[in-house]
Amino acid sequence: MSDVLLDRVTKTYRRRPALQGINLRLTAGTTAIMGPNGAGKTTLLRLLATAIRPDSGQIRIHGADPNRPLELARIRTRLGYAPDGNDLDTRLSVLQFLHHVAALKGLDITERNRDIEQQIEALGLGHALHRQVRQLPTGTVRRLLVAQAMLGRPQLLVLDEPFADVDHESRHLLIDVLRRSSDHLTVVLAGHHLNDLAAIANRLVILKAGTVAFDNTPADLVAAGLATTNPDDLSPLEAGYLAALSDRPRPEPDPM
Amino acid sequence: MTHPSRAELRGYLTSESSDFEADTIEHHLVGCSSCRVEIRDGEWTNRSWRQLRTTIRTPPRSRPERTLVTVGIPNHIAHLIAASPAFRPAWWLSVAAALVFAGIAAGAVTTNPLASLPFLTVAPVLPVIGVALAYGIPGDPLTQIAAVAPHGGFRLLLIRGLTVSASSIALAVLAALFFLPPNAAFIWLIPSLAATAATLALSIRMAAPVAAIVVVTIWIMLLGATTIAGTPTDAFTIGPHLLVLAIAVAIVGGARNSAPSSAAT
Amino acid sequence: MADVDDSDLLAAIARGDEEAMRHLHAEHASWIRRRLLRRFEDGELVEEAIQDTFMTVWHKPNAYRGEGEVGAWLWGIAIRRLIDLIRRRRRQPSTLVGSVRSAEDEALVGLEFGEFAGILERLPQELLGVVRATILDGLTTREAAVLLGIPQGTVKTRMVRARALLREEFG
Repeated sequence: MSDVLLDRVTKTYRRRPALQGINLRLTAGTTAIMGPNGAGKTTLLRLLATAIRPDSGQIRIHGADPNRPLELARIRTRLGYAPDGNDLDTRLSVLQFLHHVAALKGLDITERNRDIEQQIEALGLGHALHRQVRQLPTGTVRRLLVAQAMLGRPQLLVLDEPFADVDHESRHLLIDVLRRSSDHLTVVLAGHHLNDLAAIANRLVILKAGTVAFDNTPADLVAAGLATTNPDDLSPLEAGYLAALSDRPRPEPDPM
Repeated sequence: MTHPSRAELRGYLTSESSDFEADTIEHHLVGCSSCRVEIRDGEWTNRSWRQLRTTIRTPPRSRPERTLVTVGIPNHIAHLIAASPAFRPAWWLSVAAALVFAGIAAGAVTTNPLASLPFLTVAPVLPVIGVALAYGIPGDPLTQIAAVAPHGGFRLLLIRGLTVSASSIALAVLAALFFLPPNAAFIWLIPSLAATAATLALSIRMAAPVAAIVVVTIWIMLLGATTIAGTPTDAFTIGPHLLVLAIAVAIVGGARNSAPSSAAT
Repeated sequence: MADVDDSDLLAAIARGDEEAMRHLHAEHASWIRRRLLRRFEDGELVEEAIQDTFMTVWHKPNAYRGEGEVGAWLWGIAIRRLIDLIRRRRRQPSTLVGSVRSAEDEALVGLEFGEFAGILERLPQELLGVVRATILDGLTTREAAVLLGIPQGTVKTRMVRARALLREEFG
């Protein structure tokens, strides 16, 4: 019941298939979705965040069906979603932004203050609270996006590119927060930063042209990398990543 | 300037120093950082700061927001309605658009009753569409976040639409009373107020988009009936009655629905 | 030195920097509290006055015009917030008037402080309270009356006597 399940999920944009028959079962812990641009990462995340619906196939989030309005409402009360927020352009201050999102999530004033206080501490947003969001550096915006996703104690956290263009301090804070949250909730995140993602995820899913090319632990990807010839002196992780994306057939990973 | 000794500072803190000493020390403290550190009560300062920080971090509630909470609107919804100044331009834009619509409709319809039909058809949904255009920048991350939040998306649109309709009606009535030659332009905004309120009320029981379809269907049927009867504008007088009915049904149903759960908590 | 830091802090506070606010509070809250408590013993009201003071600073850091010590400016806000609270508690109409130190009082404060305080020491106890409130703390007669809990007329007559004595001391 506590799983997120995708069963033969397909999504097509203007006749260009974005996802083709995806089967995934995500349990508590952190799953990183990787792959080149256009491989379907954001589409997969938007499906999990109930922002779009699949063309075919089934999705179950903690046992609930997002196609049914009342179950959808239940899913959304326990969902945190951070879209790729590069262009977050609002005159709201950080504090107003957090209060706005908390109200959108239906938190009453005590829960709102409590959760916001917690996220400010966890993500080190104290210094930026009263500044306009549009004036913040990228790293702080990424932290803010994760903070808003955590409001209302979600069970499922869906984060698109949380590490893109972030500074050192932000990266450390984000990794720390995500590591701590993966004990008790299901985190799904997408990105390009192989090392960061491998550091926090206990599972890597590599997408290639809308299909799953790799689905196993980071350690397994390292092992796959060590098994390749690796002529370019890449790290085992990178070699494994490239091997997963190459056209060479490779043995299927154990289906858990 | 010579600093007071530690013993003198301690005497000041324990109220053992003479008035003369105390006055001198106080005068000195105004400008001396190192002696201020010397007498600082760290524990009290931390407590005082935490209290201050909480106040700083609680955005002041605007008067409209407080009023809404007083009349019983749940405080998260009050917060969304009253919103932050950052959203106000979009809100005023929506109100202006609604008023322009009412003005045009009232002007066009006076001559021929059948000319009212196109205006009547769009009347219930137009302000909500206006709100969607004014607030929603598609692809904006905040819009994306709102779209999947329990009180974001369509419900938020309806709530904002409701405030826009209600405020526009108030403004149109005021204008008719004081500024313009008496006219009934405001009547063109009543269908949207009724439809939005009914949709919100019904969305207690069903998904908000389904509720919207139900309400719009009822409106179109009503309009069809009154048009066949030859007086499409009768929809104005019947519509609000249906609205009251819909809200009553939804609230009674909603109350019955939520009663067991509230008893359990 | 400390002064430069304080005005930098105020500038940062004007930009909404909470950390700067924490520093300013840490620097000043404690001594201001002590000083208020020495004038008015109700701890609860003093706490409230401190909170009010720093909230005022948070919302209007630009009210500091760069004249004199930031500490003196903060004290001026704090003592008035306290008097305001005392007034409200006693349900008196609240009308705040700016400080109206006379030129003569200014001359007194302008003295080397030790010298001035030494003269004060020789004043009778009941006159000392009034002089401290008006000359040292810069309050108006009305504010001093609220703080000391005595009628305005009494403050005035005591000030007349105090001034006469002080004039004698200066020779």
